[in-house]
Amino acid sequence: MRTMSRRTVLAAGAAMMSAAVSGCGTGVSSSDSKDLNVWGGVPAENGPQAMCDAFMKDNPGTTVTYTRFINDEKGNVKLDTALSGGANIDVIWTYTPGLLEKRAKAGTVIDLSEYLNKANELAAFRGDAKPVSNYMMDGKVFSIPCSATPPIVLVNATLLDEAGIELPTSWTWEEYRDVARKLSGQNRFGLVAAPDTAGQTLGPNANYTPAGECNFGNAAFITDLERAQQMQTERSLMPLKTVLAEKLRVYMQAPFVQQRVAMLQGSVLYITRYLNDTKEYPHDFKVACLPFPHAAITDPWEPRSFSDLASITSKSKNPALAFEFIRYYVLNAAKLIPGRPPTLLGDTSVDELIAKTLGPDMDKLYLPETFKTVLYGPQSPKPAVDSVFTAAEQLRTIKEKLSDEVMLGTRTIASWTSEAVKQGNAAIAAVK
Amino acid sequence: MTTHTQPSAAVLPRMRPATRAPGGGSRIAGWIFILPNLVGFLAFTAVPLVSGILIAFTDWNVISGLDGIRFIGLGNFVELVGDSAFWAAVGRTILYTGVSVPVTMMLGLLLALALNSDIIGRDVLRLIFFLPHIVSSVAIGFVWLLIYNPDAGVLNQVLHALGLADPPDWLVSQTAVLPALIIIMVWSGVGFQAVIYLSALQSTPPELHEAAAIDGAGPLRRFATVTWPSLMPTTTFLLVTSMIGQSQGFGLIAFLTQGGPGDASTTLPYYMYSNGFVFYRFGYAAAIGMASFLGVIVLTVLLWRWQKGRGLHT
Repeated sequence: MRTMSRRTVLAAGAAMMSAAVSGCGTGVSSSDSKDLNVWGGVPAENGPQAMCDAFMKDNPGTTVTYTRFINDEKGNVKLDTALSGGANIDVIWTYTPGLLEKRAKAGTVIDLSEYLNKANELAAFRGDAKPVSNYMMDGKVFSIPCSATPPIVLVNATLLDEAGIELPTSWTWEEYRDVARKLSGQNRFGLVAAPDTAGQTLGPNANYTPAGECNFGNAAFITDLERAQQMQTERSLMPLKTVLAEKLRVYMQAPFVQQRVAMLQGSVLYITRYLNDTKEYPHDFKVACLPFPHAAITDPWEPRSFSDLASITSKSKNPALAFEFIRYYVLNAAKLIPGRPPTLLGDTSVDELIAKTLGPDMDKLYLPETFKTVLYGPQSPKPAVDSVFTAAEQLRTIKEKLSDEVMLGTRTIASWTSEAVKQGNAAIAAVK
Repeated sequence: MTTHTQPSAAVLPRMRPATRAPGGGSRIAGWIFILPNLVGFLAFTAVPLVSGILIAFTDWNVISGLDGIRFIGLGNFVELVGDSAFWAAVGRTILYTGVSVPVTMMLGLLLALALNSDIIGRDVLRLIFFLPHIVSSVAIGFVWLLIYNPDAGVLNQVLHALGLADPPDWLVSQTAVLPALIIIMVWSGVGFQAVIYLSALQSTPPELHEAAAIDGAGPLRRFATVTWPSLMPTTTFLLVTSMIGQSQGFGLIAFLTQGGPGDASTTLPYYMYSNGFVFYRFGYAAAIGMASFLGVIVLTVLLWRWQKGRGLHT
């Protein structure tokens, strides 16, 4: 009698699960090598469809089908199960480097180094580019970032003006805290989220020791926690209790628009998604863009993160065409994808981009010059770009949950350190 | 004494045999009738269940596809035994379920007894109490988010007005979050339980109550000897289904607290979700699911054995 091996049974079960979870995949089967199926998290009507249309117009005979997936946990698992189930997808976008690393390790996406070496206009994204402008994983490049969201501070300039505070062009975290304190008052706080500065002191891969273990025992994390506690006590930082009760981690724009906080650490996405929409988020104050504060040390790092990471899947029947599409996308993102800060300007000028980002009420709602200077002025020569992502999501969760306990007063900082290191190392060991 | 006798063959109508010859058309028709349900059961219950069991013995992250499946035997279960977060989640799940289910059932029964009496607007009240059961968990969560706001929420405003200087912070307190979630579960579940109990109460033979009353039994005695035993099958059904439902509750926690603050509301379903969908440890998540499944089976068997012989008709 023929018996099934253990591996066969497992594979069959996994196949059943995969089919059940993925549902129906793209439904597009391509035998024509000029067809591309691309999956991204940005709604088609917000630019990707226009990009696909433009690409097809400029490359007659090609067909690009854009499928939008919801960029959350379930949406990404749906994409991954579709890929592992053999769906015909050529290009995918990943929005966090930790997930990209998982996809790279699984062989779902291919190394783009060879293609990048031939594309001089994308030289900034090569592994040896200076300064680093892409994620490197084991010496390989698995994606090209189509968007970079430099960390910025959005400030209620009207409040700043009323308080007689001049707009700084550069500031340390302590100066930033001082401004937050001055802008706080009855029913108003300086900030909604505590400053996270360890990355500026420690540089890339701040969460890991050189040996690859959890680095939460480092004094830089303790400094952050102590500062956050002090700021909450002096009421320059909104109490965490209020943040959690009103779910403000997800809706930070709300207290900023309501002038319950004077400053917002964030990215350009707050502008294009919320602040430009004065119907949904009515406000009449002007917003200035200030640089991210820096640690009071010589030559600090500037944490940089990249998003909209475009990759070619290992299942693609025409990776050359897929790369051509990504190249086209990156070079035209500034023109065709409004609202996502592009990594390259292409043939779009800074003024055009600023006007597009800040919208038609630019002069009424913003101080445009501040955006121009901060977003497109000289960048830090020491960008801290992570390259280790082992259990990255677990470490982020551990840090956040334990820090919440400290801020709610149910855990001491000393026990934070021991517990964070213990849990962090366990999480790293579990996935190794 | 009433006796039942079988009617004679002479008075029975002539009936066609239930089935034709073995393998006949009626058998095929039977299969055709159950086919839609069978397909649904296989696709959405049997396949995921079997897959889940198999995946529990692997280290698999979905992304790597079928080639990436690595059989690790009992590795996930060994890890579970030493995982303090898992045991903490088990404890919270037992507390959450063990308190919310009995309280909901008790209040549901009291409500059913009240609605079973002759009160004005009984049908309208029944509908009102049942409404929370059919509202989505997100809508329920949103309303309770406003009620539970520690500063501006209605509940704490009322508690302040009543003289309580330091009311709980509810969903943002590590000690109050589980009680807060239990209150929501009780509120949303009590109407459903009442409706089920009500139908059971109305099907209890009234002559039993009359006979007990003639024998001199008071209301409490009648409840203990007639009403409660007649409700035993319903109670068992509600207890088992509620325990299963509550122990697998996910939506409300995912919307309101995401398992926090800290880990204070991380129950087993949320812990399983985090490991699978957030950390991509689907093998480990499946092992958590298996452990939960076994726990529910043991509980169901125990409850079933407990109720045997306690009902009116058992």
